[in-house]
Amino acid sequence: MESKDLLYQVISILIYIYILRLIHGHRLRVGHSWFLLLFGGGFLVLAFWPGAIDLVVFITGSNSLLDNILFYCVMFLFFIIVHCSLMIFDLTSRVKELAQEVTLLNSEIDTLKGQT
Amino acid sequence: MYQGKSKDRILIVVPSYHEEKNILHVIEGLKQNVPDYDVLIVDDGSRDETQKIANDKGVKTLKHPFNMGYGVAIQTGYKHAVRYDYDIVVQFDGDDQHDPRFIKPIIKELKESGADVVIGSRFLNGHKSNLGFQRKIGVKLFSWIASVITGQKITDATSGLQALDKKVFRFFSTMENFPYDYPDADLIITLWTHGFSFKECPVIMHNRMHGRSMTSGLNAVVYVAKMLISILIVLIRKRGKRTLSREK
Repeated sequence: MESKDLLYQVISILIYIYILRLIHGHRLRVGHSWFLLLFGGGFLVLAFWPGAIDLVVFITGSNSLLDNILFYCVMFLFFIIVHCSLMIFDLTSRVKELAQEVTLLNSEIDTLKGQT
Repeated sequence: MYQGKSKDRILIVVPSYHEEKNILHVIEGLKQNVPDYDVLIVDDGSRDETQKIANDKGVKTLKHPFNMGYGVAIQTGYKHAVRYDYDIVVQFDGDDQHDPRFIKPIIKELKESGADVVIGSRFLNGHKSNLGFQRKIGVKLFSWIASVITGQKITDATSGLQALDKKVFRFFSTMENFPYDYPDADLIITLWTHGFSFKECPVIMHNRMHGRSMTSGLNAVVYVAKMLISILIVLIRKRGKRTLSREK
């Protein structure tokens, strides 16, 4: 085993342990947990199974290993960005709705105070 | 033809942010010209005396807990109008640029024309505006874009002086994607994609006496870029159908 293979394996294990710790510590929601477990597991497989990358290259029919890896990394990052954008939109909408509701309720409280 | 109640409940929504120097004149102008209408100042989280000045004049105010944007302030005004069952909402800026003498003509146009929204235009019927060159170009650009898309001649797509029928502000009050910052040409196109009708009515607007416009300086460039993207997004979004019959 080359030192770089050992490095990939150690890093993939550490990443997977980190993900498990986040899940264990209730830091991740279910939807994000399975997603990260899946990709973390994917990195583990690629790190420990020497033939995995060759299999991926064979399936996609590409000649360049690096092209494949780069493509999947970019797709992964893109998926993350889309996911975060959806989350941000959802949270922003909720904050706005809450702030508007607080504003309207404060006004009703002031009106009631004025009547008493 | 519009067949409203004999006495429509009309609310004038005045979104404001750091307008302590202008708000008093705005309120006095409204009280003088439209004393029968309810006025609502929506303070978008100002840290100055805007709300206090309005309260001292006996005007109802709502204050956001933090600054969220001109569009959010307007939408809060719509939510208030729905909650208290108003029939017509007039948007009127708190920077003292809008002339309160044109509120009644706009409402009259809304009732007589049967349109769902009437927009006060600075450029209708050949009126000249005292806008700066940069802003005039921006207004012309977005008016042209809105005209091409809707197939209807629009001369002032960025006017904040508008009167809205109940079903329009009710629709906007629940709209999740209501623009946070500049509900201008993109909102006109949204009206069109959802089957609402709109008309323009000539008005005069003035330059603001105090403070800075939210589209001044570098913000103008940001505004143009954001508005172009927003218009594209509106066209891509799912459209809805609305009946054109007026609520009684």
